[in-house]
Amino acid sequence: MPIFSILPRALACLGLLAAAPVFATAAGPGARADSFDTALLDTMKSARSLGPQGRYDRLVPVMKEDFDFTGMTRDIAGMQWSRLAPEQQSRLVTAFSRFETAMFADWFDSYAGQSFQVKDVVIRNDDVATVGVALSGAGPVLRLEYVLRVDSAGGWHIVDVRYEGWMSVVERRREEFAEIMSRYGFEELMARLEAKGHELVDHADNAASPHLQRPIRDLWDRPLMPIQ
Amino acid sequence: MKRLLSACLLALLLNGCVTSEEDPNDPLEPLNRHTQGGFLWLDDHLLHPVADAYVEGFPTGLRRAIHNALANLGLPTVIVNDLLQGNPLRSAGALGRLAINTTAGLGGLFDVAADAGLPAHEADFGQTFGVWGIGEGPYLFLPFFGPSNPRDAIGVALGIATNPAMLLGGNDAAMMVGGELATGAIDRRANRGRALDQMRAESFDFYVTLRDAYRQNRAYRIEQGRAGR
Repeated sequence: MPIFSILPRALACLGLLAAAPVFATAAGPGARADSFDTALLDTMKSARSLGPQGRYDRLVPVMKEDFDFTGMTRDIAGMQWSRLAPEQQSRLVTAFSRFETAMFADWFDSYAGQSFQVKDVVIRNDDVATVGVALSGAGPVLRLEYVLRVDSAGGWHIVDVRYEGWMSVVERRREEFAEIMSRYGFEELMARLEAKGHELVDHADNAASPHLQRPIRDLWDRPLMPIQ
Repeated sequence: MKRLLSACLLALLLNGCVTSEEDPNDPLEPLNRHTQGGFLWLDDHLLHPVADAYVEGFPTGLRRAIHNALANLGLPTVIVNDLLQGNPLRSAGALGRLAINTTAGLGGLFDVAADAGLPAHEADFGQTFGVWGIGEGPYLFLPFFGPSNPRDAIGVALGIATNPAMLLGGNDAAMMVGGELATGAIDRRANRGRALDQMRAESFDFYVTLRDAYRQNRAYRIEQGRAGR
């Protein structure tokens, strides 16, 4: 076969091979959630020796990779987002990502044999997915639900976390941010975000109080009084 | 005037969850914030210390038995509301729990029914009204009862009025119901203490946090009631 007829096909093959790593590494939603949980579990296993700052430092690159903090911040800011200048938007994303990472570092502060297990993956409209995960091993099983969106490169990233099927991080923070920005303004929100993030990382671990194992379930498992 | 008040109340109830970023449907926010402030002061200075003493002074098994007994006393309300929500199978399950735990569970001290494949679930009058499509109305923070709204507040009142202990009548009923409420409050605080403290520590505005958490949870409960879960 003349080389001129082989060459285009060879180049096409090379092109496909070059593109293959992109498709190979673009994790599906289930794989993305599983990857994050694995990294989280590794951090938990060394939680006490790392301390809050150490856990935070370890989680920063992990969450930067697995979460879409820009998307989350935009969802949380809601209508306020378009009223912010680009520089303010950038500052808010940075402050929120630091705060959220600090929260995870604070929550997952111990290990008592827990494990994460992906239970179900549901994809809607090809660009939004929910991944149900069970956290078990320390008391009752805690149900987490990651909400993910696909980006323009085909990669899935976490944009919300729901605890026990109802407590959404984004919805919770949306109300708080809206209240603070409308009452006190953008700079006050930034100050509180940054202060709270530092506070979460600076405090010492409380050995008697493992956090996430039974938080939200207990709070609203039933109304405050037994009779309703 | 009575008709006007009734109409206003109905309008409140049918207002639904009309919240948005610009309008959180909380017209009584200043009053609610004050009430929450008082509630948290009582929690910090009374309920939390009592709950801590309860946890330290009572062994886990005994606290679990008290929790189970309280849950058993609340089952008639669950049974009735499951039926009202159109979930007869769930109601039957709750009835089964009541029968098994009251007998084999020694008056509800042991949750034998859960081991027999009948897990606990919740159903209340406020949730039932929500399943029926009645809107929550504006947010309220009630003294002693905490986060609520007109629909759920009426549900709480109905729950107390239909408590089987009310059949005793007079002071006996008041003591029984009051005792149940107080014990339940300590039990809940003992179980939720860490969660509440954690939530407070990571909030920027704890009033808004509680308001939003309450609404999210109630919406979830109503959705579960509609789906029969």
